[in-house]
Amino acid sequence: MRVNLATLPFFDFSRREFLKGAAATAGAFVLGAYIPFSREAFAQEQGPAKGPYDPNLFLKIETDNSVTLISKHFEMGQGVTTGLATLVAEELDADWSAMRFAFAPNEPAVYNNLVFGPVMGTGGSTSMAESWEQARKVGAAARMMFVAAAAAKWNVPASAIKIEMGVISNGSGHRATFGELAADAMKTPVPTEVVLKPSQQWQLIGTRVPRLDSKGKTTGTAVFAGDIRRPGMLTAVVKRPEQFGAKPVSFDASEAKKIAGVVDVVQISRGVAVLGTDTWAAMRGCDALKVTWDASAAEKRSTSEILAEYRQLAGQPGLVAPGRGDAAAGMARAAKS
Amino acid sequence: MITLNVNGESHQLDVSPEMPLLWAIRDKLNLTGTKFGCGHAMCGACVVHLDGEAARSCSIMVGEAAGKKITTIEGISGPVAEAVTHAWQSLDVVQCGYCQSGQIMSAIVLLNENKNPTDEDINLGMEGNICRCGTYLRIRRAIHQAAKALA
Amino acid sequence: MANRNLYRTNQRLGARPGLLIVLLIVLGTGGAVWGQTQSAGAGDSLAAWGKIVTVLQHPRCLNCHQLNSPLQEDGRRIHIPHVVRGADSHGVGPMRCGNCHNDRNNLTSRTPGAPEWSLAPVSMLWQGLSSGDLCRVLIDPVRNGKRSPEALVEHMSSPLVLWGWNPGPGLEPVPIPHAEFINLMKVWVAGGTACPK
Repeated sequence: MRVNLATLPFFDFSRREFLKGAAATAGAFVLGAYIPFSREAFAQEQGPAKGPYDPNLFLKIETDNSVTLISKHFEMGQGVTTGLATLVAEELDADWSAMRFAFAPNEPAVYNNLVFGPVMGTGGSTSMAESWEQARKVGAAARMMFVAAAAAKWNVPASAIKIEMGVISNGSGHRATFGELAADAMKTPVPTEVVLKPSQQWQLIGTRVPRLDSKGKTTGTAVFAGDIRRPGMLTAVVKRPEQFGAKPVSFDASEAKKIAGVVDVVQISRGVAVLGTDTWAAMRGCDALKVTWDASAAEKRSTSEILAEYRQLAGQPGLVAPGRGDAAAGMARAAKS
Repeated sequence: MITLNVNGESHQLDVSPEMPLLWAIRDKLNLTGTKFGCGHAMCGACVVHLDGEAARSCSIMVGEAAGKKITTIEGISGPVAEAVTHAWQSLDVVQCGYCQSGQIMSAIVLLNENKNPTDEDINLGMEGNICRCGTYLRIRRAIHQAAKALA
Repeated sequence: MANRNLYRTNQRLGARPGLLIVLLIVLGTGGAVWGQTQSAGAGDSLAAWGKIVTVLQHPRCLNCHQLNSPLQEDGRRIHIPHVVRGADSHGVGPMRCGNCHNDRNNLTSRTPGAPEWSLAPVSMLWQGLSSGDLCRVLIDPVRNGKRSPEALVEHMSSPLVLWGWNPGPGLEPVPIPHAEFINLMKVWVAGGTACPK
C-alpha cells in the first residue's frame, strides 16, 4: 500500500531533497513501525475488540466526579497517560478537568501490550497505536453503562439520555453527575458491542489538552521509582566494576559493615550490593567495600579502539532491512545541499 | 541529635551531622519531592531553599543546615511560588519531571532576586539545573510568564 | 619563577658557568637566612619573592583570581556548571557560590569549601601577569584591598587563602608548606618587598 506521508503522526522531516528521485526512493525509507491507515479509517474501525474494554478494569470514578484512567502504559514524560485519557474522555464525554491517571497493577493478562504482549510494556512507540481502539471502547462502553443506569433510575428510554462534560441529563429535569451515578453504572453489564464516535464529532482528540502529569511533577508529589517507601524497606546501592562485563569474585565487607545503617552486603551477578536503612549509609558502605573482580570477560578496549573498529565496520555494507526500490541509485541522483 | 526546621516544622533526627541534607529530607522525613541527580552539586535536582537562598542539598551537610529555615518543593508558598508553579502547569513545561522540582526551586530564587529577568539572566540563573528531556525553552517561557504575572 | 630567570640569564651569558654559579650561591644563601628575617636585605627579598610567586601562580590561587568566571581543579577547566561573578563577587540568583560550596570541604559531594568562598575582587586579577607585574599589583594598596605589607602577610593565613593548602582529595597540594610560605612572606616584606623587573 502506498504510504500517505501526510497522515503519519510519527515524524516530521523535509521531503524536498529526499524525494527528488520520488518513485524510486520513496520505498527505501524504513520505519520501525508504521500504520498505513488514514485518519478516517481509524474512526470507523470496529473489528472484534483486541483486548478487554471493561470499564471496571480501566476506570475509577469517584463520588467527587473525578475520572481516573488506570493506565497500563508507563508515563516517562512522553505524554501517554494524557493521550490515553484523551481517548477515554472523548468517548465518555467527560469533562477534561475531571480526568486523572493512575498506573495499573501488575496483571499482564489484563493490562497486556497488544502489540508485543503478553506482557505489560511501554515502548517502541506502540502505546497510542495499540490502545487506540481499546481505550476508546473503554470510554464508549462506560458511556453506554451510564446511559443505561440513568435510564433505569429515571425510568426513561436510553435514547433520551444526553451526556456532556460529565453531566448526564434527559433534557427534561433529570440531571446527575458521573460521581452520583458511578456506583450504579459500573454494575451495569458491559456492552458486547460499542459504537465509537465518528471523527467529525471529536472534541478532544486532535486538540491540545493540558497534561495530566503536570500537577504532580510541579509539586513534588509525582512518585518516581526511588520515591517508593514501604515499612521496613532497605535501600540497596550496588558497587559495580570499572569495566563492563567484569564479575565480582570475592569481597571484604568488614569495613562496610561497621557503618551505622549498613544491614547486609550481598554479592549479585554483576556487582556487590550494600543494603542500608538509608541511602547514605548504603553509599558509604559501597565506598568502604573491597571487591576483587574477574575481568577476563570484560570489555577492555579503549574508546579510541572501539571507534576505530566502528570506522572499519562503517566502510562495509550493512544489514538489509526490507528493501524496496533502488536506494543507491536514488541517493546518487539526489541533489546535494 | 540534629534539629532541622523543614517547611515550618521542627524535626529531631538521630543522624550524623555530616549526612547530606538531601538524604535527611528524602529518607528520614520521607519528603521525596527533592531528587538525587548527581550528588556533586552539578545538576540541580536537589535544590532546596535555606533561609530563602537556593542550596544544593546533596552538598550541604545537616550540621550546617540545622538552625536554618529549610523549604522543600512540598513547602513552597507565596506569590512567586504560585506564579512559577502556575506558569509551569499552564505551559506544560514538564516531561519526565525528574528535574522539575529543582528547576522550580531555582526559578523562585531567580525571580525573588530579579523581577524582570532577561533571557541572559535566565541562562545564568538557571545554568546549574539540567534537564535531560530538554524542556529548557518551556522553562524560559514559564519564567517570563511568571515574571509578567508578578508585575 | 626562579628557574625561568636562570634560563634567561643563561641565554644572555652564553652559558658562562662562572656567573651561573654566582647566581646559585645567591639563591642558596637566600635560603639560609629564612630564619633571620630582621636582617633580610633586598637580595633576600627578591629571592623570597621568587618562591612566593610559585604559590601565587599555582592553579588553585589563579582559579579564583579570574575576571568573571572561576576555573576548576588542577587542570583549570571551566567551572561546571557555568557561574559568574555577579554584583558582589558571590554569584547570581540561584547560582551563588555559597549555594554549593560550604565553609569546609565536602567529601561526599567533592565540592571544596572555605569561609566566604567567592571570586577574588577584580582589582586582584593575576592571570597572565609576569612575576614582576604580579609583585607590583600585590604591594599596591589601591589594588590589594588597602593592605600594608604586614597586612598582606596576615592575609596569607585567612581561611579562604588557607584552603589552598587543604584542597581535599584528588587535588595537588601547594608546593611549599604554609609555615614556610609565611616565613618567605616575612623575608620578602622585611627586605622591602622587592619586585623583579
